[in-house]
Amino acid sequence: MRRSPNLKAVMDHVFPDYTRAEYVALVVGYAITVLVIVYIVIRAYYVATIVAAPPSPLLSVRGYIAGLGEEEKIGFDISAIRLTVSRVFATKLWEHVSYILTAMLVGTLTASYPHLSRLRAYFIPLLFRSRLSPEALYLLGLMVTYAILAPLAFSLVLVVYHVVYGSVGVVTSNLVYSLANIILAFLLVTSIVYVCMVILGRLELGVVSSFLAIFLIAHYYSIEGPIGVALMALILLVVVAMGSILARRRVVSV
Amino acid sequence: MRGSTNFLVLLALALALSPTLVFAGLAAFNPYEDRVSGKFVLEHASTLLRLASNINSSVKYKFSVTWILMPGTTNITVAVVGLECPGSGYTLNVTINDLEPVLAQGDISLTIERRSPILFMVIDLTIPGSCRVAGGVSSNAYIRVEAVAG
Repeated sequence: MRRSPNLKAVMDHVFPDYTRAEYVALVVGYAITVLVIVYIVIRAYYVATIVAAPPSPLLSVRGYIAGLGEEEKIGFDISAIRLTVSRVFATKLWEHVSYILTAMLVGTLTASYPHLSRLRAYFIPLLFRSRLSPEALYLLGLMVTYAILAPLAFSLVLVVYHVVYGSVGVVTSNLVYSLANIILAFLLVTSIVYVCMVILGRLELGVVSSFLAIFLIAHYYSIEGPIGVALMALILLVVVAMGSILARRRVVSV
Repeated sequence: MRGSTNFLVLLALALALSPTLVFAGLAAFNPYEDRVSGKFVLEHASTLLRLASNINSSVKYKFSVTWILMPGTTNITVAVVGLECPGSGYTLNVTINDLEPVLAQGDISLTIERRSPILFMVIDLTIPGSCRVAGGVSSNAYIRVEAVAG
């Protein structure tokens, strides 16, 4: 959509120097990131304190005659409560790690957009300069990866079928479901790395954004723990290494 | 923006915005209440006190309260309502968080400084057998606990 001349005049008046727009973008990106993280941390801590608080008497308390009854024992102390708070807080924070990473990603993109929009012109033409260039080969390899992996993603349908009709045991269905998740994650990661590198126009920011996205996907698909992170990092490194090395060599040579 | 200028702008923005935005976020999203109170009825106080007076003993009530309250300076009041004690009165022993226990004849009112939103209190009430519930068997005695932060 084209901007009207009036709007263009207003924008030129507000931002006569393009550098000022970059300052504004930095502030907005920074505010997005910090405020979202503060909100999530506060909510996580609030929920942790509520969960960790032992039950208080609702209406009445029981008494006893000294020497006859058994003394009421309080089964917890403040250190035990604080320990529970810290544990629940960490759990809640990890549950929301995808939101935090998303906020950081959006903040980074917002802050760096004006700068990147100028740099984008350097990288994209390299991908399509020649059909036999390394960048074009990387794109071809990406499409082959899609072609091989995409049919495997249909194993999800198999999982749904078996779970619905109950013909597969829980262990087997979980195994197939995990496999389907990994395949889907592979597809998503491949596309995200490619999109980050091409759209952002800067390889190092593309790699950083891809790393953020990888943890988001790992969390979304519940591929957690050291094995999940290691697996996702391995996939990421293989994909990024191929594209970035080829493209960087090309950029440097140009 | 390039090189050192870029770095300086980023550093200045980070230094200026970090505390401002964090404090703004804390003020905007703070979910904690600044006042909480509770009324805990002493179960069968009249019957227990009559029995205790016959064997020259006392009645004890011990329980814990955990409240989530805004951190900061907090005024805490613990009072027993509905008891008539002709001789020596009841004894309250209140332990708040990991502070030293506060022992008092009669009601307790104190101010503490809290950095955590958790207010954990262990309340230990000892009533001598000479006390009676005001209003007789049909009435209730209770402990009123109130905490006001800020």
